[in-house]
Amino acid sequence: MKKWIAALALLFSANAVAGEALLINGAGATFPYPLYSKWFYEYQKLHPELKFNYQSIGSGGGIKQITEQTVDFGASDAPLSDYEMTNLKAPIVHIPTVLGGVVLAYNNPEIGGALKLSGSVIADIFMGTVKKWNDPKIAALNPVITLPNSAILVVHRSDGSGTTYVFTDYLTKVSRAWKMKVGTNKSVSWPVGLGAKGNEGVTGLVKEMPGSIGYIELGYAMQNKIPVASLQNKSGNFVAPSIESISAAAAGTSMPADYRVSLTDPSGVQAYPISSFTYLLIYKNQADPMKGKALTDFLKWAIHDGQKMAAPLYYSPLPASVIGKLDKTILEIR
Amino acid sequence: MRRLQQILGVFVWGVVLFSSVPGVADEPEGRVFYKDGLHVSSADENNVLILNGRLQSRFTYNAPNQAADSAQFTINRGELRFDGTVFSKKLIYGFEFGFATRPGATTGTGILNDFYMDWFASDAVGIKFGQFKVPFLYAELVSGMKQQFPDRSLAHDDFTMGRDLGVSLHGVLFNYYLAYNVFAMNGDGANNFNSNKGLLAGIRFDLPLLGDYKFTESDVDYSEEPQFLTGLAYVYNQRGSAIQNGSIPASIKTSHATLDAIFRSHGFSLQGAGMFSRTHQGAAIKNWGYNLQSGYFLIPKHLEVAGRFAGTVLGNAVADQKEYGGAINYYFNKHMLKLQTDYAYLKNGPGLGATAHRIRTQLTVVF
Repeated sequence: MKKWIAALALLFSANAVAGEALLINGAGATFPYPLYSKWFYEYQKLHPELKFNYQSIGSGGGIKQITEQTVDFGASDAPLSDYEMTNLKAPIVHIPTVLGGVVLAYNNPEIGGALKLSGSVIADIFMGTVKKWNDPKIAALNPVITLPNSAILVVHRSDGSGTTYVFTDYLTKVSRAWKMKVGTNKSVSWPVGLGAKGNEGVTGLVKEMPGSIGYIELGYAMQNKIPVASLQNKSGNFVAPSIESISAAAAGTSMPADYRVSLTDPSGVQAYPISSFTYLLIYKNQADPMKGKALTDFLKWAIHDGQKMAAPLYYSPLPASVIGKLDKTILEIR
Repeated sequence: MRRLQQILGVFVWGVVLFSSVPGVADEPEGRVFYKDGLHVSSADENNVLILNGRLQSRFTYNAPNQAADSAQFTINRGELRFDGTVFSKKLIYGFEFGFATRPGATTGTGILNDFYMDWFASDAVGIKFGQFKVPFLYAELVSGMKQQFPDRSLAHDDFTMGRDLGVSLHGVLFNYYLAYNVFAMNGDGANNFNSNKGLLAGIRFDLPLLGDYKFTESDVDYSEEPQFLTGLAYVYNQRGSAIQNGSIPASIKTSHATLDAIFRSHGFSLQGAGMFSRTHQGAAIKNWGYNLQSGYFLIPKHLEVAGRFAGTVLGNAVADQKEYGGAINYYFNKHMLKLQTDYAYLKNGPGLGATAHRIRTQLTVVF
C-alpha cells in the first residue's frame, strides 16, 4: 500500500514540475525596460517552458538585489563600482546588451525651434545657476530661435538610478563646478529641482509641467513625443540623439575585459555625448544549473537575434566587436 | 475610576480642540527628518537647522619608562553642534559647544567652541566672521571626529592655532583649482579678547588638483578616482600668541608656515605636513615639525590599519620629540560611528619623560 502511495505522489509531483514554467527573476534598470519587455515576450514565445519576471525598480535597486542574491539577474546602466565589486558575495559578470542615450527632454512650447545645449550649460541649469530659458548662456548657443523669459523647472530622478549615473558622469567630465559640488553617482544631492521615480516618472513630470527639463532615456522621449535638445559634443558639433550618433560614441572607445566602461563625452565627431551601454548582471557561477543554462541561452539570443529589436525602440545595437567578445564571456558562465 | 474617566475626557477634548485650530494648516510646511543628525528646514529650504551630538569616549594607558604607569577614561570630545542656513542658502551658521572632560580642558562645563556666520556671496567670494578654527593646519581643519588616529600627532600640538575670534575672506578661483582663505584674528585663542592693537593675520591656499575637496582623513568613502590635494599657509601673529607654540614663549611676535598634501584612492590614504615657526623679537627661535601618516582599508569602508611618523625639531634648547604610531580602526558607519585603537612609542612626549609607550582606545559617535 505504502509503495502505491509513494508511486502516485512521485507521478503527481513530476506532472506538476512538467507543467510549471521555469521562473527567472530579475530586477533593475528602467532605462532598457521597454526593450527587455519586448525581449522577454518574444523569447517566451520561442521557449514557453521559461517565464521571466523583471521588476524595473532602477539600477540602484538592481545592483542591491543582485548583491544580496535575491534575484537571478540584475540590470543596470551603471557598471558596478570598484567598491561594489569588492562587496559582492559571489562573482558577477557584466553583459552589455545594447547602447542607449540619455536625452535632455523639455516642455516649453514657447521655444521657437530646436534647442541646442552644451555640457557646461546643462550643468549650470541642474545646479540652479541658469534659471531662465532666455539666460544669455542658452541664448548664445541658440542665436536664431526665440527663447521665453520664463523659469526653468528642473526634473530629476528621486530613486537610485543608472540613468542618473550616466548623466552625472557626463556632467562631472564637462563641468568642474559640477564635479566639485555634486559629483557622479546613482543618486546625488540635487541642488535644485523636483524628483520623480524611474524614467517613467521623469517623463511624466516633464510632459505635465510647462517650463520643465529633465533627463531620460531616448526611447521614453520618442514614444511620448517630447522635444529633446541637441548637445554639443567634445568636437564642438551639436548632435541630436539618434541610433547612429549613440553608436558613434562606442566606435572610438576601447572595451576593457570586464566591460565596465564609460562612454560619456566621447571624442567622435558625430558622437552623441551622453551615451552608455546598459548591462545585465549575471552570477558567474550559477547555483541552479537549469536556470544557468536557460540564462546563458537567453543571453546568446539577446546579443544576436535580440539586437534586431533594438533600433525600433530607439536603442543602438552592440558593435560587432563587442558581440564577438561577449560570445566568449557567456561561455564562462557556468 | 471616576477621576480617571474625567482626566481621559479632558485629554480627548484637548486633542480634538487643538487638532482643529484654524491657521495651523495655513502655515507653510517645512521638513523634519533624520540623516546623520536631526534636520529641520523651512519649505523653501532657506532656513535650515541641523542638530548633532558628538561624543568621543577614550581610554588611555601611558607607560613612561621613567615613571609610573597611568590609565584613565576621558570624554575627549563631547560636543553639541548646530549648523544650518538662515534667510538664504548663502548665509551659513555654525554653533558648537564643547563638553570635554579631559586633562587640559574644562571638566564637564560647557565652553563655546564655534559661533560664526559665513556668507557665500558667490563661489569666488565669501566672508566668515565670529569664532572658528584658524584656517592654518590641514589637520586642524579636519574635524576631530574625522581623524584617522584617535587624535592629531604630537607635532601638531606645537603648531596649532586652534580657534580664534576674527574674520576670513574665502572662495574658490580658477575653475575650482584654487581655494583661498585670507584672515585676521585676535591671535589669543578661543574665547579671549585682544587687549592691544596687534592681530594675527594669515593666508591659506588649497589646490585640489585631483578629485573633490574634503577636509577628512582616511579613505573611508573608498575613492573610485584618485584624489590629491595640496595646501600651504602662512600666519603672522603680531599680538604674540597667548597659547604656546612649540618652544616659543607667549606674547612674542611670530611667523608660522605649513605645507601639506593628501592623497586618497581605493581605500588607501597618505597625508603629510611640514610645519615651521620662528620669532620676530627677543631670542631668535626656530621650530620645525612634520607628520606623515598612511592608512589602508583591509575591508573597504570598514577595517583600516594605519601608521604614523611625526616629530618636532624645537629651538631654544628644548628636546626634540618623536611619535611612532600604528592604529587599527573599525568604521561601523564611516566617521559617524567608529572604534579606534592606536599604539605609539613617544620620545619626549608632553608629560611622559624621555620615552613612553601609549595605548588609546576611542569610540566616536556622531548622531
